[in-house]
Amino acid sequence: MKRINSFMIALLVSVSLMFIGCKQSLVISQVDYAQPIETVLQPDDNGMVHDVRQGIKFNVMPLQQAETGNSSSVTITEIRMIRGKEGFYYVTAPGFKNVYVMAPGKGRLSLENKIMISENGIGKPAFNQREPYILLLNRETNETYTLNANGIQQTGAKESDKTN
Amino acid sequence: MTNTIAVLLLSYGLAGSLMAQDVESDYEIQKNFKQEVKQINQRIESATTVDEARQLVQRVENVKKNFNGHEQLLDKALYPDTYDEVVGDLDSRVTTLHKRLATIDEQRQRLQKLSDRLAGLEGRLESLSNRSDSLRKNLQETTRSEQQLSNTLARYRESLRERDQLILSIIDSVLVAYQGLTSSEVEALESAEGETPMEADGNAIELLQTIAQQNIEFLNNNPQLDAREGVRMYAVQQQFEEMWNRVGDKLVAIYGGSNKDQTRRNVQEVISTWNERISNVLWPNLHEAFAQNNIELSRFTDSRSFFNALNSYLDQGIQTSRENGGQENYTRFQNFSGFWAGTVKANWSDYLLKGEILSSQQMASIDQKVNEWAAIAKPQSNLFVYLLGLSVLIIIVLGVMLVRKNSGNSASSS
Repeated sequence: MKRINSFMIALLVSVSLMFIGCKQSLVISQVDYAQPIETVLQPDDNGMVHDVRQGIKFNVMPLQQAETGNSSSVTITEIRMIRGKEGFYYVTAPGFKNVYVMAPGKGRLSLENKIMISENGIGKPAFNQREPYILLLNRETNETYTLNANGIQQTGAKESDKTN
Repeated sequence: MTNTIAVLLLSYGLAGSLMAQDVESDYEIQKNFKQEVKQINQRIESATTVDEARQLVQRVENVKKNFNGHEQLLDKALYPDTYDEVVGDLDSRVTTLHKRLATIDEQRQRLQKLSDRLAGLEGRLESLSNRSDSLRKNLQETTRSEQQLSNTLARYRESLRERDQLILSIIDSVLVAYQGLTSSEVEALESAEGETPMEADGNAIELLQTIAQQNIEFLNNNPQLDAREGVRMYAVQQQFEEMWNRVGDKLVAIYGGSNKDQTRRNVQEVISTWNERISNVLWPNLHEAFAQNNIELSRFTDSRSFFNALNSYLDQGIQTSRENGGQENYTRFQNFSGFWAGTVKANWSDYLLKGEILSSQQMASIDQKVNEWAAIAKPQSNLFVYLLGLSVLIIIVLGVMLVRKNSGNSASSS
C-alpha cells in the first residue's frame, strides 16, 4: 500500500512537471516582424513620439543625446523608423550620421547596433522594407544603403553616377 | 562551404538588385497616393462643371498610370482596403460625376433654350393681352358705324384666338422640355438649383402663374363670351391644367426655391380659380348658344351633364318622331341637326375634344342618334292613302256601272 501511494505521488509530480514544462517551452518560431512602410513621426516638446498604428511610444531624447550630445531641448524635427523582419527597430532622423538598430525589450528599446552612414549626415533619410534587408535612402543625394542589424551590406551609387 | 558561398552570392545579388531599383521612398509613394486620392475626392464633392469633371477623369487616369507599379505596396498601406478598391471607387465616382454634370449641362442648355423661347412668348403674350384689352375697351366705348364696330369685333376675336394659340404653344414647349426629364435628371437639376441660368432669365413657374392670373383677370372683365371663345378658352385651361398635372412636380423641384410646398400650393390655387371662372362662363354661354338656335337643352354645369342634356334632347326628339311628331318636331330636328353639324362639329369639335367637353366616342354616339332621328323625323305623307282610296272608289263605281250595264243588256234581250 505504501508503495502504491509513493508511486501515485511520483506519477502526479511527473505529470505536473510535464505540463509546467510544456507551458514554459512554448515557442512560435519564424515570426516576421517586418513593418511594410516606415513610420515618420514628429516629436512633441518633450521629445515623445507615438505611432498609433504600430502601437509604440517612446522618447527620442536619448537618441538625440547619442547623436548630437545635446539633450537640453528637442532639436529633432522628425524621426523615421521601420521594424525589420527580425524585430529590430531601425531609427534615424534628418541630419543624423547614424542609423540606430534598437532591440525591443520589456518596456524599453536597447541599442543593438549603431550603423555609421555618412560623416556629413543623412540629409533626407527614408527607409524601405526590402526583406530580408532594410533599404536606407538619402533622397538628398540619391544614395542607397542596404542594411541589416549587423551593418551596411551594400552601398548604392548615386542616381547621377548610375546614369553616367 | 559551397552552400555558404551560394547563400552569400544570392544575398549580394539580391542586395545589388535592390540598389538598382529603389530610389523612391515607399512612405512618400503611399503618402502621395493618399494625398492625391484625398484631393480628388474633395474635388469630386466641389466640382460643378463638365470641364472640372473631365479634368478629374484625366487625373484618375494619371493616378492609375503613376501608381499601378506600386500596387502591392499600396495594398499594405491601405489595409484593410486595397489599391484596386480605392482606385476602382475613385474611377466610378469621377465617371458618375462626369455623366451627372454632362446631363445637367445638356439639360441646362435645353432649358436655357426653352427659357429664351418662353421669354419671347411671354413678351408676345403681354402684347396680345394688351391689344385684346384695348380692343375690348374700344368695343365698349365705340360710337362708330356698324361696319367699324364689326371690324373691331373681328380683330378683337382674332386677337383672343392668337393669344390662346400662344398659350397652347407655351404649354407644348413646357411639356416637351420637362416631360422627358427622368427623375434622376430632375434630381440633378434640383441639386444644381441656383446655378441654373433659367433662375435669372425666366422662371417657368412664374410664367405659368402669370398666364393663369391673366386669364382669371380676363374672365373677370369679360363674363359674356361668345360660345366658341368659351369652348376654346376652356380647352386652353384644361390643357394647361393637364400640363401642370404632368410636369408640375418637376417644375416645382427645379424652380420651387426654398419653399417648394408653398410654390406648388400657389400654382394649384391659381389654376383652380381659373378653372372655376371659365366653368362659370362656359356652361351658361354654351346653353345660351343652343337656345339661340331654338334648341332647349336641360340645364348642364359640366361635361357629363352637357352630354346627358344632348342625349335627353335627342331621345325625346326621336320618341316624338316615332309617335309622328309632325312638322313641328321635324323643325326641331332640322334645328338641331343644322347646329350640330354646321357649328358644333364644324367649328368647335377641336376644342371640345381638347377640353374634354365631349370625347370622340360621345360625339360619335350623338351622330348616331342624329342619324336615327333623321330616318324618322320627316312627317309621313297621306297622298298614298288618298290615291288608294280614290282608286278603290273608282273601281267600285266602275264595277257598279259594269253590273248595271250587264243587267240592262239582259233585260232588253229577254
